[in-house]
Amino acid sequence: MRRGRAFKKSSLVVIGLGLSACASDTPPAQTTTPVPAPAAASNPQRNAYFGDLHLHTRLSLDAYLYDIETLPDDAFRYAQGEPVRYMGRNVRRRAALDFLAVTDHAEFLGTLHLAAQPAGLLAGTEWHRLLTSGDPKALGAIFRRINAERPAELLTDEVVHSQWQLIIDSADKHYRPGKFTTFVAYEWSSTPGFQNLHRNVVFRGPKFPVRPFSYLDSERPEDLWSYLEQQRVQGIDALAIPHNSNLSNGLMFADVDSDGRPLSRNYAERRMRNEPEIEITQAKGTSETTPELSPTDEFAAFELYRYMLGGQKEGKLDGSYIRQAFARGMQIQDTIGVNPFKYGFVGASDFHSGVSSTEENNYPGAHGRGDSSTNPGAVLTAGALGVGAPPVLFSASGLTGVWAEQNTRESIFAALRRRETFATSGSRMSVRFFAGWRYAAGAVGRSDWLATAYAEGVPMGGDLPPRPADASSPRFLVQAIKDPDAANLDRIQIVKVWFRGGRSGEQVFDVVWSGDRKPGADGKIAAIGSTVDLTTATYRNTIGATQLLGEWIDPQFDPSSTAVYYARVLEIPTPRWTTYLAASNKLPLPENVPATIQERAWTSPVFYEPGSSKR
Amino acid sequence: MNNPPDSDRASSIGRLRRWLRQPLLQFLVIGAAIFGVAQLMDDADDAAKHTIVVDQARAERLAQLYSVQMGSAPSPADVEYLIDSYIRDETLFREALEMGLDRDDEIIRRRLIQKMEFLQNDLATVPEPTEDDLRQYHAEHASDFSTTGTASFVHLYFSADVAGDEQARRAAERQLAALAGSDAEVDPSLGDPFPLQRSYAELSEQDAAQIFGRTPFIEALFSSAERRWSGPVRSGYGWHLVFVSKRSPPRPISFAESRERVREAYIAERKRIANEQSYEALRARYKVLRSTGVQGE
Repeated sequence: MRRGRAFKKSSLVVIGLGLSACASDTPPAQTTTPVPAPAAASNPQRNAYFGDLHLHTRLSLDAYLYDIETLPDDAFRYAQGEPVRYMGRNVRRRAALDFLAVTDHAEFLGTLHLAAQPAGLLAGTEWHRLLTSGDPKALGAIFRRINAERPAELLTDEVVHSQWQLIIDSADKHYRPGKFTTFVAYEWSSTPGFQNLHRNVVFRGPKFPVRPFSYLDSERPEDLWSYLEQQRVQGIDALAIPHNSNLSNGLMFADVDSDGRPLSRNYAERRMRNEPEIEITQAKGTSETTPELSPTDEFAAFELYRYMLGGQKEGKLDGSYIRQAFARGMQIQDTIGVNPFKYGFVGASDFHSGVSSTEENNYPGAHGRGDSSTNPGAVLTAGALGVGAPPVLFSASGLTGVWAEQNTRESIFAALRRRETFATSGSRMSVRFFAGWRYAAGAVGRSDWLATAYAEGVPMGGDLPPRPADASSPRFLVQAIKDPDAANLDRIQIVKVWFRGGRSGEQVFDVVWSGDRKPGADGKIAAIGSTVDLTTATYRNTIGATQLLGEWIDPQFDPSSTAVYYARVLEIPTPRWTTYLAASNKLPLPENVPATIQERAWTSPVFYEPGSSKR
Repeated sequence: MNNPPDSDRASSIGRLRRWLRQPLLQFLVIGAAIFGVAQLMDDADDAAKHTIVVDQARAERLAQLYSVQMGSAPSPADVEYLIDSYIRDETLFREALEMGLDRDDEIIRRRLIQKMEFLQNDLATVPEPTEDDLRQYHAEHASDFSTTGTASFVHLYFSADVAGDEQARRAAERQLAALAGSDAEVDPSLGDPFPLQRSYAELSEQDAAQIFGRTPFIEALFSSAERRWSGPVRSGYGWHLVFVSKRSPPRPISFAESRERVREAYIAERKRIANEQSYEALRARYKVLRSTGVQGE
């Protein structure tokens, strides 16, 4: 399939200017005081740490216009369980997070925040006067001018550095190795033709670049990767994490590059080297799959958000969802030898509130004035408040779970790089997923099974080693532990996507489930039922399990097919945030979204290739 | 038209004048005049109330709101649609006001209260505190600037997964009776396999809550008697018996270590006091008449 070009050739000139900022004869990158290595214990079998890798504060141009007051300091404090002021109320997470990356838009980063300051770099300018004039028309006018003209005085090195340094300083101030990890990060918001190609860039530290590479420098992902590769040569390591493929109108997983040419081996290698992870769930929907793409998956219709950015048009499904992209990636690999979509999963919020409030019963809205729950009637019924889509469609999602030796930047970043991560829709259930050729039956029941799992196989995100001739199927070990503040677990499934000889397919298998349900005639496990009371927005943990542990062999394993396997874990049904909001304000439930939700987790896949394995 | 004869006209004018001088009539005429003027004014007011103005300024404002939301300028067709929506909304809004629908509406009431609070709060700027101010604050609020205590413990777990919650609790109770007098070293298989750790050292309350959930288990860790088995107590995972081997008390954090937090807390406190004074000034303008119990002023 050929697609039209999405990028202009003139962007080549801009690339040159953008990259020159990264050349080695410019001022040295911003460094920070090295943080002493923590004395905290390191667990070789790794602990689960939970965090948000995508969050906007007042330093983002659009978040500023939503009238939020939160800055990175507030975001880090909220994540650690401290109260923060939001939309006139105190808000506080029930359970603290372990790490957070604040990812404000690189384009005009902190510009309005700076312009509003009476003693800042833009004091005395027209921008300051407009912003503080009290004229309600001024904000809209400023936004349009900034977007249309891209004024040079707002993009000087001095202005950009001052705001970028704010972010670095805040992250360093709140970083407590062994206790709470902060990442210096930002968002590259390329949206050619309203098609979302956004990536977050997360830095490992302790060295950081002089300035972030924004879509004003280039809209092409290939150029972002060039920037990352140049930085890496200078000892500044970072990863890009794409998100919202569901809003890309098929562009995120297109089989052509930014110049409309079929993907090359070099492209695929660069893509995977620079962005091994993808954000599968967030406020603007979950990008795993849809009922149209996966008609036999009864759980496929989950928190779907179909509108494209900037309007109410629905985008193309084909090329916008990750499960399908695995099949496409294996097909492309058949031609060029490398899979360009071999992604692991992370989850994040993308809230434009400055607070990672992913707890369903503790969600105050995610876009400032646009959908603040201090205005519940409007939020529940509005067609499109200040956010371009009905606020009820947004998800109170999601989080990233990583398996890392300790809670430090280095350890968590390494987990991201090797894809030993899972995404959740906002709760803190933890999931283990291993695959190997040599696990003995019953391995998972033994008390030291984790040590065996690591020693004799690969964890989530890994490549299965070459298949021994006598092995008829890999054995998969799975464990899920509920979030202790949330609902019990319903089941663990394994999703398999395979490809061979030009044809691909997918299937979802129920592997471990709570209670004594038996597979039906169709081989599936029945729905678990629900304890949710919609009028009071409560549920009870009288169904489901606190822990699920099991093993699985692929009954349809074909050694000559390329395959991808990932685990999906479902909780029992619980009230959706819209139901909590309606119940506590005695308002009717909205009709255009489900009243209950089965929170879930998706692990990074394990990858199988026939013949000798390529890494 | 025939003119009446001059003498008749003079007498009819005189009669009219006399008539007009009657106090009651004057009253009625003035009243009618006032009524007429009021009616005119009402009509004008009514006309204003029922006139929806859509001028260039309004159209521009609608377009700018659209731009802020959508990130791009609206097309002429979009603008027409926005104007139509505005006219529709404005009609319904004014009708609602006229019918008094804003009264007794809890949500509108709360929204107005919130707007008023927003306008009243943070009016005063708080001056930057001196070093002495901060030190004094730190000393006066020592409990806010200490670490929480920690607990080191061993536990046994009883899962509800197999045979239900009640069965798990009873199993825990039976086990507790059997453990009377035992110390921390017990065979872990006396309980169910626990997916995380069987023992923890120096866990703070916050960390414990993150691991076990905000549940009675946390209170038990920091309040149960030390060095003996107790329970059953519930965590986010089920029932437990707990043996706390050591609890460390909260430790104060030095001024130097906590200076930034002290400053933030100090400023927040000053703001809170200023906001409270702001409210008191408003409150003083109202007299409260209570007919329940004690009379207030």
